[in-house]
Amino acid sequence: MPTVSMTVNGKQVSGEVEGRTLLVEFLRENLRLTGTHVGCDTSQCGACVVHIDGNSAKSCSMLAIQANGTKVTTIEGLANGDELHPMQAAFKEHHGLQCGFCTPGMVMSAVDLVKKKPKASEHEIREWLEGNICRCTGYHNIVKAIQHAQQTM
Amino acid sequence: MLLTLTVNGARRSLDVDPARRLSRMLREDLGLTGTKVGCDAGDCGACTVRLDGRQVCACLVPAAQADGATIVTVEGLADPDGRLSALQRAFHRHGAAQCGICTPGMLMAADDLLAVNSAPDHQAVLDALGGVLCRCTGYLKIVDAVLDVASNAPDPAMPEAGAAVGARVNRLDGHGKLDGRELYGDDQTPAGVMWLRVLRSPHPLADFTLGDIDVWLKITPGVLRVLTASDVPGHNSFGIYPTLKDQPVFAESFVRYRGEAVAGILVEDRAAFEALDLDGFPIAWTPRDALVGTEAGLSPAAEQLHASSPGNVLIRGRVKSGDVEAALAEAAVVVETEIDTPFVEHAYIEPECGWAARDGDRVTVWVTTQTPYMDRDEVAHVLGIAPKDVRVIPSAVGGGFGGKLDQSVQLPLAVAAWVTGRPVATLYHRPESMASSTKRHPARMTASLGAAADGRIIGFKFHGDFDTGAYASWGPTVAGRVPVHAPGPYRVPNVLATSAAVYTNGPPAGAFRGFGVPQAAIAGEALMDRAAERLGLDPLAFRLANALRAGDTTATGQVLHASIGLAACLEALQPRWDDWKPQVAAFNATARATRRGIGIGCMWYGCGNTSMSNPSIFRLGLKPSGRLTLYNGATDIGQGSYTIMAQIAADALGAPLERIDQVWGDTDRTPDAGKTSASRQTFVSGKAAELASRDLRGQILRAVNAGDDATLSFENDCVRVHDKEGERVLALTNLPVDGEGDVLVGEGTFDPPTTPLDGDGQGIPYATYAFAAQIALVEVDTELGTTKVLKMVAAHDVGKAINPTLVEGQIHGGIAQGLGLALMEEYIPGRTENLHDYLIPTVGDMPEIECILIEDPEPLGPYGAKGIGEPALVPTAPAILGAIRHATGADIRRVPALPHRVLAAIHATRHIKEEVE
Repeated sequence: MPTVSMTVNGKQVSGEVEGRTLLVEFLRENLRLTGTHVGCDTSQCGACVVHIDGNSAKSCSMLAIQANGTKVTTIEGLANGDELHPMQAAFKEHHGLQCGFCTPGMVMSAVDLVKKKPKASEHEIREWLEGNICRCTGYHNIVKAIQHAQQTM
Repeated sequence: MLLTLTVNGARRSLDVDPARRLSRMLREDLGLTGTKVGCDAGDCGACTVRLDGRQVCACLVPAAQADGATIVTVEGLADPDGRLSALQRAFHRHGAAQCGICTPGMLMAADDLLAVNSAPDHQAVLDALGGVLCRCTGYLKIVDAVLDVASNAPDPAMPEAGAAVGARVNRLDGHGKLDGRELYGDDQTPAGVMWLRVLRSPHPLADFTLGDIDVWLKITPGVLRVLTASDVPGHNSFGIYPTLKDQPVFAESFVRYRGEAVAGILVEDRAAFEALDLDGFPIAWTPRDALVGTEAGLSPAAEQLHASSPGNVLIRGRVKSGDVEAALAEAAVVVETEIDTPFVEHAYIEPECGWAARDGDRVTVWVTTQTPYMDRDEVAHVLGIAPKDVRVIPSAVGGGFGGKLDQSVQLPLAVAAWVTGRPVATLYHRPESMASSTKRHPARMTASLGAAADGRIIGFKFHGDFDTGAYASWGPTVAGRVPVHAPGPYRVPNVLATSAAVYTNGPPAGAFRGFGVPQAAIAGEALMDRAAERLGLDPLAFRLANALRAGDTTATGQVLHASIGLAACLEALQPRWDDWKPQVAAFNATARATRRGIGIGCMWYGCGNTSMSNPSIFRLGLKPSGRLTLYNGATDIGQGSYTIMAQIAADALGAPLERIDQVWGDTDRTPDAGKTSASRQTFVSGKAAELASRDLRGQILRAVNAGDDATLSFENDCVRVHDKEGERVLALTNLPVDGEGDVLVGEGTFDPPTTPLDGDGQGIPYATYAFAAQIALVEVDTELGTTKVLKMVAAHDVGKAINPTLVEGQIHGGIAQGLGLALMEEYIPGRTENLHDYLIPTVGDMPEIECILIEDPEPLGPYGAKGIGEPALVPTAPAILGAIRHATGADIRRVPALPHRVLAAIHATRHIKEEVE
């Protein structure tokens, strides 16, 4: 079995995986980083979004070996100790979450958006979130949270 | 990572990216190109190999997963000495490979089954092959082959001299399709070529401006150059018709459809091609409201999409005979309908691909194509050079069905090779192929049919608006062919049939097996059923009573003299039809949610171009070795012209088939045999092959002063000629040879005789017509709306079946595509651009099929033969839709008959019954 090494949330990790092991399986099962969620396993729902070398990616749709040598950030790596990341704080403040299952993916997607397009319009924010499905909130408060984070990030 | 695995019995170690697809590792790193890639998404199964015994889609297996595994590919099936395995030989003798692109996957799936179950039953075979799509064969011969492996029957003997025509000869190009050695468009790319990725529009109608490309080139690794409209050296325009070259190679400032080519990006190698990310490409789009559908295109408010076409009408077609209004006014029964059909995708399993190279002032294009000679002329037009300076070499073609009659990769490749001087290759990925390529025209048709009380059809009126999409492509062909065929293969004294090809912002609609006739037949045959019902006649009997016969005049004023086998087809179907009727009634008497029904579809189809010259030229050469070379330009896209032409040539010469070698479809070496379209190759090219062969025979006979009745025997340095005067010998080794090394060359040209159509569509559009009738037995679940086609019987007048196995293959495959048209296929731009959202029939969707071949010889055709390719598909959808109506009363006016539409139609019927009629 191939060995993969990567930096996850700033920490060097490695492990033996099957070639077909998905990145999300490696994160959740090998590293026990269960903050990244699996809602569909077929790339529709976006609950599993993480950052690979700074770009958001659905970790259910890539192999662990494809992340070999990369820097991976998951929802657990976003906060600075007890201090929430500005996007997390904005979600909290604007009620951008209800059940919270989609939230890790939403937050990771949103952080990537604000880094890439700091001045994204509301329309552009909604377009960006097309790959993340939320069944609770109706999205409005998520958009508001991101607009707020545009100021604080 | 370093990988060690066993491939086809040999231990291999290689250093690869662990995430590399196994399919690419096999093809590109190990050179095993027998494994094909059709979709790269696990939908088509063409890449199926055995991994530790089990069938897997190699495109979905990361290389790391194969570490330590045992892999068997199609190249591992035959003996080391090249003798085909029992499975491969069964495929060969059953004609289970047509284009051959799915064959490796089919073989490996079957091989997996047979390894664990040496005597599988029918259902086990269906289950094992269920993940591999085939678009040619209709699957039945594949299933038969798998079930017949155990018999280990011998190959059919090659026919003796003079007995090739009519024989079930194994495909002469079959071996390479079975052992993985056939070279398709992506299988022979030279090392060191650049790769080209086409940037395409994501919008159906939009203006665009290009940003700073030089900056993008600097920041994007691996990119060499960007080609845009201004790089096209000749004309930035192409199109089927010389006066209608309305499509740009690269769009200039705006696009007219989603998928249109905007720029060509050249990269250093295949790895860069696969890795290229065009997200940051400097282009700004301003989308506009697109015209979707013919109603939008024809709206007075619609934007005019092409300067030369006011009202967005590309062209109109019209056939008028007699006085249809008067006829309908006096008819005892008049029935009317409106039918809508969608875009339909060809879904050939091999996507568009090829490569091009410049050599001095010439350019060579290797490409998967149905039409090498048109490609040559189109490349010359775009480069601004003479056609003689372009060489087009068709690869083996992994399916076409009309979709490879248009330009795709040819033009951007040729431009890139020409302006850079470097060889360049490309390969469309599946969604790109589906978004950019042509489709079957959606049709919105209204039709009415009037019949007298005695059951004679006296009038037929038809209008069809055909959505030709953003560019003309073959739109004029569809608009011209439809009005001729719309009245169906019946005596109809009063006809008005009109058509319009309408520009919209849909994908360009082009050629697809039948050129609009399958759509028109859905409308016409629905009316035949309803008129028969109103008259209290059996649908088959009503058709038989009105069937065209010798001496009848068509709506274009053409008197038909010979080869009109519709009545014979219907008479052949009668016993099955009569058997089915009580069976269906008995089933329905006890069934609850499911209902059975039977339906019938008839068709006629003109072979060759409509009222236009479409000659084929063939040559047959004789070498000093006594071997023959057929210069065969009739591109074989799986239908079998490679085999058919040789069978005809062999018999016309009086030589054994195995004496003939072939050069095929190289525009530098083979004379122009036109396009593989319009069901013309057997009829037109076959006749040219026969004439070339007779010409060579005449030369040989004259050289030794022998009579016409002489027999020839070809030996290794001479031809022995026997007639009643004894034996004469034509020595070959001392004769001068030409550039191909031939000492004698026979040439034949055939152009089917037609005349132009006047303003009322009067004239002789085709030299001959194929005729057919098919009947379908279906079962409809009235709660779910699903339809299962249980059985079909297809009777086709083919004039003469040159090779019955190949003819049956065309019928099976045509029925599969007709079933798709009737029940499941609907292309929606942006939504069904892949083979999991766009459904084509799988092995499990196929009914039992019985083929009945009627041979009413066509005097002009080779040995009486005419075409079968398109005729095979045309009657299928009408028969299935008629059967659904018979089962449930549902009048399907929008195809495909998806479950929700069937249910809606069933409910509508219940309401209508409460109203009038």
